[in-house]
Amino acid sequence: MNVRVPAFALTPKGESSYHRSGKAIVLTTGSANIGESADCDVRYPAGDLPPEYYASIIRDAERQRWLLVRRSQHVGISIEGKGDIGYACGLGSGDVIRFEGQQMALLFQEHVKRDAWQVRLWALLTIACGLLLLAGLWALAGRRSDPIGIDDVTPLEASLYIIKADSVKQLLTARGEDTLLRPTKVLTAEAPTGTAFMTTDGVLVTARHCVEYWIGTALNLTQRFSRLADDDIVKWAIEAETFNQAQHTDSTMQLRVYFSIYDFMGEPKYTFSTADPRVHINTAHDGIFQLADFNSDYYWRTIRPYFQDSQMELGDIMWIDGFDEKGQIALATDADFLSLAKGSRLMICGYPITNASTRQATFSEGVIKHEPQPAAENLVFESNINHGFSGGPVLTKTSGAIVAVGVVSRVDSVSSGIFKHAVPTSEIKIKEGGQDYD
Amino acid sequence: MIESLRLHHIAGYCPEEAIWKMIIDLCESVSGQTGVPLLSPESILVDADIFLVDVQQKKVPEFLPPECHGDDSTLTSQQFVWSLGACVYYASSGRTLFGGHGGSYQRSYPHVALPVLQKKHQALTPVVQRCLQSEPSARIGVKELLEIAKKEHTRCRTTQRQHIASHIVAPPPSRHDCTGWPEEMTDIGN
Repeated sequence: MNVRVPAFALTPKGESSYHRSGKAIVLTTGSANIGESADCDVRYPAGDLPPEYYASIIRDAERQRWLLVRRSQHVGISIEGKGDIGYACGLGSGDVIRFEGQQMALLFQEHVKRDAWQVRLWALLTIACGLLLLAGLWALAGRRSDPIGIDDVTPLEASLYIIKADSVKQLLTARGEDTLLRPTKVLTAEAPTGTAFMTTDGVLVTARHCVEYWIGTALNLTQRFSRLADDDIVKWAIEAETFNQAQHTDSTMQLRVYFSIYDFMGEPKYTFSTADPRVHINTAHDGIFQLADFNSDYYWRTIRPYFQDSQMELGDIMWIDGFDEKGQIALATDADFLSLAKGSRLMICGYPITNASTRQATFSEGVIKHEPQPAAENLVFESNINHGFSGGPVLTKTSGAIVAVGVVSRVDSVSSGIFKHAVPTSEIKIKEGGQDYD
Repeated sequence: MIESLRLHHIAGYCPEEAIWKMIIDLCESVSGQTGVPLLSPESILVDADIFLVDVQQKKVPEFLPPECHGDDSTLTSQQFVWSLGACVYYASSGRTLFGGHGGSYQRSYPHVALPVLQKKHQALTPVVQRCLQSEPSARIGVKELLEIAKKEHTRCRTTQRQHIASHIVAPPPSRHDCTGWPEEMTDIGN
């Protein structure tokens, strides 16, 4: 009996900031999206342009062939030796696909499975080699990614907290003295709430947007500053950034957030402000943009990934050190991140906003969706989580140990699906004295 | 022999420019004829960047206008316009009109709300809605449809990708101090 399952592989020819030449990016029996969007299987850098899908490779089951279908009207697509593809074309093994303006081309290769007896023989040989290889890797690395279940994470509930922003002040700080510029904005209905977790190092970790809730706002960069309402937190943030960008003295303007931490019983445990030296926000990845208000120069600071600068999103993390209390959630090490791969199992913990009066810790299974590149961009995963999980830990299990590899950040809804993003916990920089990394 | 591609292969993926090109090619192919062939995702061929009609394909009831009852082998120009509108909707969304029921649904409910295309194809919505009028005499004519399609196709081809304000790398270009803010920044309550 013949067993033939059609599949294809895409291998880059030339390098991009996301992919290395010669290393297959895609090997799938399904479809693949190619373009600049974060959810594409093959990614190209977008520069300062809005991200686009270039093309998709889909299966024509009726004719038993793979098709390359154009999706952009701006980027030309050609196949070496055949010319422009028009709106769509069939693909054959060995076709090299080129995209206008991009140096990296893609080699398309079809794959099919062998006959059944060959499958068995090769399977036995492969398993034997695989076992030998795994034994070697195990001896070398000593780590692997294991399945993780709810029984693994339920005991961690006591290390989970609710975080809630209470008020915001706009202050001018000069020569160590604060001047309140406006009446304090007390947060009520719009108060963001999220999740925080305590690590085994005594560090409380959460998402930055749980406190600086404007930092990921999708600000229309053509928006006129003068149209913003006076009590709009976005206007305050623009004022502060504009002042700080233009200021050549030692005075700064800031938005200071006062927030509370509640334990899993709902009891208030701690209160902080973002001015507290124990509170750390990594602003190294922040993007600062000039607004298109032609009367004056205004600036906006954000972590929203404009222009597919995915590194900006790594700024959506905040941690507080100096606690005597130690939690039960260990942060992942570099070796733990090496064990992560597309398909790795996860458990995500948080306090979803399903009931305004009661908050209950919830644990949701998940899986890594895209091959992780922790130093370059967020972890992308699938899980049934919603509002309130922000700031919660993304847990995995390596060599029997539960570790936090990420902090829940945002949800990205695109045409190919709904993806969740988590900031890798490698962004947390813990040193003696809690130095902030600006 | 390489099998030709058809509209159903690329439906849902098409950029706006491709759909306008489809309208142009199909309108030009029937211009001046009295009876036009049936249109459906299976009968529209895609040959590189040209769209053609395969006259040998069978009719698909969901892509027949509401006034047709399935026994027609060719269409009038008004009926063609409706079928083309249905194919444009299909090309944009990958779905058949009216929840898959097509023209028969509009025959039962002549005042059904006409579809609005997805945001990246929003320029096509007014044209599609003029094509899909249940009253044949209210539909857009082939000539006017062709003129609009040519104009929009040229717009798509010549419009560059829009750059957005870029990341600041240089020092701020202007100098303000606390007392020198623009009036609109200090005028609370304005």
